[in-house]
Amino acid sequence: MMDSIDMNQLLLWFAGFGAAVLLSPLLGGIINKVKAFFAGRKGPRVLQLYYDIAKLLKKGSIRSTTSAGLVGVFPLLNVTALLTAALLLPFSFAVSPFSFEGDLLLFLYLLGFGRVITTLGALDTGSSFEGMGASRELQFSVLAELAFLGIAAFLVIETKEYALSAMLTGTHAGLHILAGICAAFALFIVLLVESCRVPFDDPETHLELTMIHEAMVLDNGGPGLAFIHYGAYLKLWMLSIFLVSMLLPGCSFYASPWLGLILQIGAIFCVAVLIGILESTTARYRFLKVPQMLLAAFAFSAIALLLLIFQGVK
Amino acid sequence: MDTAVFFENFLPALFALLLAMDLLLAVSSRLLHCIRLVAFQGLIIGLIPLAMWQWTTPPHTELIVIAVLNIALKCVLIPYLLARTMRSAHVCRELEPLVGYGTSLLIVLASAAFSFFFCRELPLPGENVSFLAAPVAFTTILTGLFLIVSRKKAITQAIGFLTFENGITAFGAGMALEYGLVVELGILLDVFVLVFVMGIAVFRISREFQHIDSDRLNTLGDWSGDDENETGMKGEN
Amino acid sequence: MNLILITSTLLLLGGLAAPFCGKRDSLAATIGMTSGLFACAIGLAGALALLFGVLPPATVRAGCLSLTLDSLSALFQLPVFVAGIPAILHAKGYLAGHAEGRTGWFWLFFLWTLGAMVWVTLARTPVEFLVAWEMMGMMSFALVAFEYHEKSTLHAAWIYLLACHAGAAFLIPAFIFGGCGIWGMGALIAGLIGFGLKIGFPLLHVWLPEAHPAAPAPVSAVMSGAMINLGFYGILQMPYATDETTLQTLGWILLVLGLTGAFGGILFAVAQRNLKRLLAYSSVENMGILGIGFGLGFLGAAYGKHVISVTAFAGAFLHMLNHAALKSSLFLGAGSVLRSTSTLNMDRMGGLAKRMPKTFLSFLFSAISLSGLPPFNGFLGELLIYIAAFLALNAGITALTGAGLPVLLILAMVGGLAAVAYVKALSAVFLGEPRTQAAADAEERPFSMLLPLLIGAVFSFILLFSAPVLMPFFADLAGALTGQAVDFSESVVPALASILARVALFSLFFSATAGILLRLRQRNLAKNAEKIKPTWDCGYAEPTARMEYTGTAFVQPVVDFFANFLHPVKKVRMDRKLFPAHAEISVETEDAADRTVWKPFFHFFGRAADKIHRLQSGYLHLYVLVMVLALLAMLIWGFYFEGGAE
Repeated sequence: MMDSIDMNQLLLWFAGFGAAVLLSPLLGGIINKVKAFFAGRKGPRVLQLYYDIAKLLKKGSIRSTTSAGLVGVFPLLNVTALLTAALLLPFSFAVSPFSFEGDLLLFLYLLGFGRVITTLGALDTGSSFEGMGASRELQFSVLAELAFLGIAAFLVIETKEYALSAMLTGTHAGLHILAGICAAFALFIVLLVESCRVPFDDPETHLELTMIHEAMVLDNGGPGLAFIHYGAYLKLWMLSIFLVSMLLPGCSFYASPWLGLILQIGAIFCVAVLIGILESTTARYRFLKVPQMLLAAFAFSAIALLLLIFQGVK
Repeated sequence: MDTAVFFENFLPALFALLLAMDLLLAVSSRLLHCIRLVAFQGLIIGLIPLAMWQWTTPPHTELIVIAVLNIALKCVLIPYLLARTMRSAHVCRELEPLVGYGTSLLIVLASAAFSFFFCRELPLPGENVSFLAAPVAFTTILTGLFLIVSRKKAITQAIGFLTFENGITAFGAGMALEYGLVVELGILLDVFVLVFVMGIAVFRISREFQHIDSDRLNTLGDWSGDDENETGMKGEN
Repeated sequence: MNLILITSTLLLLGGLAAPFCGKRDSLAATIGMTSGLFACAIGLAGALALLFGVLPPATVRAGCLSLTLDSLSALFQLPVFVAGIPAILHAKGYLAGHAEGRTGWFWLFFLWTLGAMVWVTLARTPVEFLVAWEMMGMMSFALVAFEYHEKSTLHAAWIYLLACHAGAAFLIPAFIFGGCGIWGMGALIAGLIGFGLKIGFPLLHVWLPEAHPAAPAPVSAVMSGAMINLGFYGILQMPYATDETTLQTLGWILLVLGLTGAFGGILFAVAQRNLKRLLAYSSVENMGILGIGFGLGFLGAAYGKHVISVTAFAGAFLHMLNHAALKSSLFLGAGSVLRSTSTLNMDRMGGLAKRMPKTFLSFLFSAISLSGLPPFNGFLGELLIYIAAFLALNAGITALTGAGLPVLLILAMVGGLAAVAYVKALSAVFLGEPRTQAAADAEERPFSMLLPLLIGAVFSFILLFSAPVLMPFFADLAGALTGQAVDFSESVVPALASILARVALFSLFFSATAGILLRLRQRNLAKNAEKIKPTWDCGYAEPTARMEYTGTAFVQPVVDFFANFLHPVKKVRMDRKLFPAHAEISVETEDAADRTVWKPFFHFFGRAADKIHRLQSGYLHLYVLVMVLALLAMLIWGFYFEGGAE
């Protein structure tokens, strides 16, 4: 916990928060650009998603005759949950001014709320495709949460902190390199699942039977769809911050905190590039395989925990 | 990077890789993949004595011989034999393990946790012995046993036995036991003979029965019922 | 204390008066409702007054009765009233037209059940406690069997009766052996089993999924929201020693039972087709979470980590209150759905959200909240238990680390599975198109059946914002229950209170942001009207409700993934023709404890009893022979063994 709230820190944090809110659609542009590069195409502009969102916001919305109204509301609630959760993240080494002990759970469960409300919105239309997507999404989320909690336990033991911000900005003094790598790998798998990227879900596919997330939003249009796109990349940005903060130990090493912020954002873009490369070089897994991969993520976090716990005992 | 720091981290990294191989062995269904994993394990086992060797002291010829022998046998020769047997028996994957892959992973994880817990009290004999050595070696042993118990194909069982042996070697090498090397050589010979015999046996069995599921070998016994005999003879190919 | 006495008297008299109305159902309902409501309101006021220190703890002796009200009993009375008030309000509408001539009897049993629950929390002598406990069981048995025309109801009531008696069979020896002093380990275990039967610990939970669907909805609401908690009251009230060994034993037992109960309960909830069965299994899960909380609390105290102990206890108490408010509301919602569609099979519903929008909204709120998702109150209790587990990880004691890790992982799975179960319930019941004519014809319930649902929501909002205020009592109780003489008011309590207050603030922020966004959407829609078109159908000319995902289909991946635990039985019926005109699939999931333990157990005893039955040949001289032999055996025993010692 901070002794006194430093103005500079606060400013830094708000800059980071603003960057997350404003720049997150860039990630989609970067991923698409990388994929286009690998396919030998020119690809859409990096800013394309901004144009799409602006266009969609101007359009009228549509609602299914079956719907009881959830289908139009859930994108807003999802984005709200994500924004609320983003309040808890640290940016660069600026600790969130809203953080409290145990807020890691609030962060996780807010993401969970977004997921549940999205599945409910999908099921609201009565479409069998959307039911399929929702069913798969929730199935995978059970195991993803297991893996995520494993990573959380790792962080808690490693930093002896209970607030998300403090955990991620901790100096990682006792970081066991191997354990850290295991945990980061587990987190990367969880990140791919949570943000519906390729080995688990294909955001580009046009075949409903193979979709998860995209199948859930088939009946959305206009502003709702804009919020869905925005929410997806905001979530990716937030999880990337999680990953980057874990991997770049002690951002406080950098000469200037602002440099740290820029480095962090650069690292997030690198994650996007990595995802783009992964999407261009691998095929989507069979659905039967996904739970196994999630179990593998859990296995990695468990190994990280084992290494950490028993190293301390030695 | 400082060489000292490098070697300090090299050994734990090797053990961690060994652990990762155990987990992968539990979940991979392709036999060729399993064989490669075991071969890689062999390579790691071969490297462990080299990594533990203090570079300040003059090199032991014995150490190098052991390492080379280990790598040659476990990383090259035995996997090659296994792969050949696999091809000649026309099997490429373990289709129906007795325990599902997800459960297998959890079981191996649990055995890892158990080994870590169990080896906590074990005194470490030397200065440069990694705290990972004993638990990882035990996990490897348990994984090998688990593979033998839970898989049907004779080849996978041989792979399990090999993993088991890798665990024993890793324990000996990792804990820097004095007479370990001699004992290991004996075991190594055993395993070599085993794989050799198994190769011939599997080849014969598969030619006779069109399958190599060892759990169906009980059809050979004269007490087995008629229906079992039928399914045994039909085979799966 | 006087307030609680007034409550009890009102419940007693109201219950007595109701059956005298004979055939005049509405009069009986009015009498029952008014006396019940007044009683609960007064009781709530009394319990709160005691908790907040307005009134002191007190003991009243009336004849042979000795009633004591202290903060623990007040805390466990809260769920009775919190679940009781909506249930009483709901009961009138629920019973209307379904209990001609028997309404008076319903109110007698219902009010007396409530009264017995209050009495259980007040009784202090073993005999009195046992009488109250048995009365609670018997009265609620009558309620479970209230709709006795159906065979399944009778079966469920029979199982419930067995569970009650088995509970008593363990409790009476526990009390006898326990005596008045410190309890030995054997008495402790017997007590745990006896009370565990009421709580629904794993293996002992079999009556819950049977009795809850059979009982009328208000009864299920009260039983699930309030009665099963009382099992924990019993456990906490046992005069166990507060030395290290006992606390450790108690902690580990509760923790293991809680972990299996939480995981198993929610897993089976996912697989259910009957709405109320799903809710009943979810009760098993929530009791499991309470068990985890109490278990961690005892362990923390045993190892001298008071912070963990207080945090875990506070989490468990908070979760108990949340569960009481939310689960009773959910059961009442299920009752409303039953009255509108005349079925509880979720695969035969659908599309009720448009037909019963208000019921839907309240059910949505309670369901999301009970899956422990944050902007609502269900999250708070779980958060505290999580924090306790995190603290246990870093406590530096191997046993505590070993306890904390499984708690974290199991709670994570339970959270995810709870989301699956409740999304399934919501979507199968309320969303999509109706799958049967009965569902299509469903209508919104009258206001009298909506109001109780609203009250449940109000209770949970109050809980969300009042949780920080409750912390000092929880800390005191935790200290008293584990025999720790540490003052928590300086350090732990403010920290926990501030955490809960922050969560409440975040909820406010969430609601404000969501409100602004929704308002913007409204304005946008006013400008640019929404187009209403059929759901996208991917080229099917005639999409019907039969094409949409049923609840069973929705959870199929999860059920298959956990098939090792669940053992679902799939039955496919299909014409064996080239173009099968008729195809049907049904998935049944039998309770694991029933399948693996109880059925073989009772089967074995049945066969053993059959063998013994041969002795009952009907010939008198054989009976006499048996008696003579027994007498001889006793003589020999007495002569050689007992006498030989002298």
